[in-house]
Amino acid sequence: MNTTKINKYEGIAFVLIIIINLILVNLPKISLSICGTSAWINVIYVSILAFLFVLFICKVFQKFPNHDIVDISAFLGGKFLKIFTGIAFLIFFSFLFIMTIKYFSESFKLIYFQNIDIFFIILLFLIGAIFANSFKTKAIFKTCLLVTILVLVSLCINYFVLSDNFVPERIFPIFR
Amino acid sequence: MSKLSNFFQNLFLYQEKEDYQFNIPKNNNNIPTSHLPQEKNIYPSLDVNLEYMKAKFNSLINSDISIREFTLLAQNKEYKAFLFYIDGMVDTKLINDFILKPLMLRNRANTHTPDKKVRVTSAVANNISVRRVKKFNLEEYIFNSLVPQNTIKKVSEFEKIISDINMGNCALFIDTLPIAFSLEVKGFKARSIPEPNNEIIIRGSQEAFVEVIRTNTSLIRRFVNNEDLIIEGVSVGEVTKTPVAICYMKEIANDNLVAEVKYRIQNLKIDSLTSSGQLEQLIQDNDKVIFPQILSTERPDRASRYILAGRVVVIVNGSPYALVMPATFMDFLSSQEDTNIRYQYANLLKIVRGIALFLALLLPGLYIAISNYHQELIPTELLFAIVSSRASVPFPVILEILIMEVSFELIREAGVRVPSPLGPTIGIVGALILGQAAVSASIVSPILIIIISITGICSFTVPDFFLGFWVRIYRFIYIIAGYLGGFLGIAFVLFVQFLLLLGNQSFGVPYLSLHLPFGGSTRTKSYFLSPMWRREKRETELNTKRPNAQAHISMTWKDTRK
Repeated sequence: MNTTKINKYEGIAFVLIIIINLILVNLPKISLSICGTSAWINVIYVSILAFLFVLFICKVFQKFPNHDIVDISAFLGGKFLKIFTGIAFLIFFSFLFIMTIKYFSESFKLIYFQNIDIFFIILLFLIGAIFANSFKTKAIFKTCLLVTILVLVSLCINYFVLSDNFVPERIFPIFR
Repeated sequence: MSKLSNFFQNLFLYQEKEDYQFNIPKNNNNIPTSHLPQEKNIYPSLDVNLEYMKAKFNSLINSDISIREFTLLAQNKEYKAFLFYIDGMVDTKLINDFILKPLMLRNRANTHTPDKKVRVTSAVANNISVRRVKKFNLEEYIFNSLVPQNTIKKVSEFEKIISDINMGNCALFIDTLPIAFSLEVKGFKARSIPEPNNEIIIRGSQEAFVEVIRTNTSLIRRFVNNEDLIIEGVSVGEVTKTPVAICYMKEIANDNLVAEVKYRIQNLKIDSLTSSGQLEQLIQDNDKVIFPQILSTERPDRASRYILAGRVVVIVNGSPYALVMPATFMDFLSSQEDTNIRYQYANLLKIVRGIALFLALLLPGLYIAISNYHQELIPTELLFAIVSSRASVPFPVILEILIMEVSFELIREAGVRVPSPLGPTIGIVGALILGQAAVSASIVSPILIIIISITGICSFTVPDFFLGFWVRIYRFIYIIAGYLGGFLGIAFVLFVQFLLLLGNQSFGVPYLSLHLPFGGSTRTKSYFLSPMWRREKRETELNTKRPNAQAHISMTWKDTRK
């Protein structure tokens, strides 16, 4: 197992970039359609649930220090469970990767590249991933940190510029 | 009739040309023509040494090899000797006054009679006196007493004496001695210390390096002014044996860093080395990436500053550029002026350089991405102005930009090589062609002239000339990426570029460390400069032996507690 350590800021940036992508920029449409302006409350509520779930998993993992899920499944069910868990995770990560890439590429195709086959947009992301894979993980984490800083700065500029359209009352759905 | 026949024959029939033509024949034998065996040690016999040196230097063919045979006088005895040097590389007055005169002309030193032995010690025991005497040693006598020359070395190997002669020394061979004397009489013409051409600053030293390595090392010595400055000499190149100086501070620089630099330089199997640029390419970490990984500077004050910071500076004989290693990306964006002026002015210049780098790299790519894919970003009035100005241009935007960029590069390159009387003319003609004529002929739109001009001016703002090449190459890549994928394409190339910059190292130091905007006394990685009194620490990545560059309270005159 690769024991590259990342520092505190790189870890924070890694989590932040996912939060920014999935919550700030790509807030789920279903959340917006059901909750309206209280979608942000819904986000906090779901985050608390996710946090409690992760806390539970961490407590369980404390019994198995320096072991990951595959090692634990080997401990519980032997080789069969280990292989099964490994394959399940592989399928899960592949599915997640494919869905994320496809969703992202479809958004781009819809807005900017209507006449271009989606295959080429997906290919661009794949080439980027293959190229990044040839570098050490440290370089990837540092790039993530740098990109997060740039994204945060641009988001702040975005919100500052759009502050004219911001209606403070709308964040409190109770008072509408 | 025959004349007519000849005329038509000459006109229509193939005639073999009688012009002189030379072709280099294949050399099936790769054996070098010199079959001279490599002798190691100098012989006691003068004639053998003379014949060997004549053959080694091809004195029958070489017109600038000088051999002066003479009779040396030592302790009233005559010895055959000869001087061997290269004409044009020595100071003949030094040879005449301080070598030939003392050795050839009769004087008190060399007419001392050889029969008298020098009594070293004596003792008397049991009425018997014992004296130790020193026999006459010609080698020591000449070295200590006869040659009033400040730098004289005894050499016993041919390889060393030949190397010294090639550097401008003079060799003295004496019959019966198995050594030769290498005398420092260099007198070749060299450029005097000039002003820097490519690293011009307003406030600071106006001296630059020259081609002679000893002059360059003396410039650094004057700035550093400390006995801990080590200047190690090595030679690189099996044919040229180019002298290379490795400079560092013994009490500051990390020993492993110095060892790594020496290891890379001393493990080069090359024939010749004629410039620091060649050495840079041979010892850099990664030659596949476009950006430079070793800093080149022509300023001795800048090189000295880096030595005092714990880095290693390498000077190559014959090149007015010194190499500084390790080098990070931010070093290429900084100038010597930054440390010479107040930190507020320096930070303003850093902001300007940052904006200039962004524009030089991305402006044409962003323009093409916005005009092709993201028109909604442009205000409506400006969009109408752009569309109307482009209405008469028959080419797509990508072709316009490439035409203008290539023209700009051609004019820039021509400007470097044009003779100086024509320089301003070419500049004016180029600007006219690039500007007014192209717009009038509807080859390009006016807005593109503005874009290219701003890009060109910004690219000259990058302080390092060699980083400018990286900007120029990547600008084309961003243009193509912007044309193919808009902002997505530019983001992809930016991502790849960040990976390359963050994933590479320069002599063990990350090439692009993430610099926080502002630093304090404990932070060394900051883009903007803190006040002079707060720059307490040396860079942590260098792991220097002396992490603190100044005391916590450096301005003790302000300390009211004492």
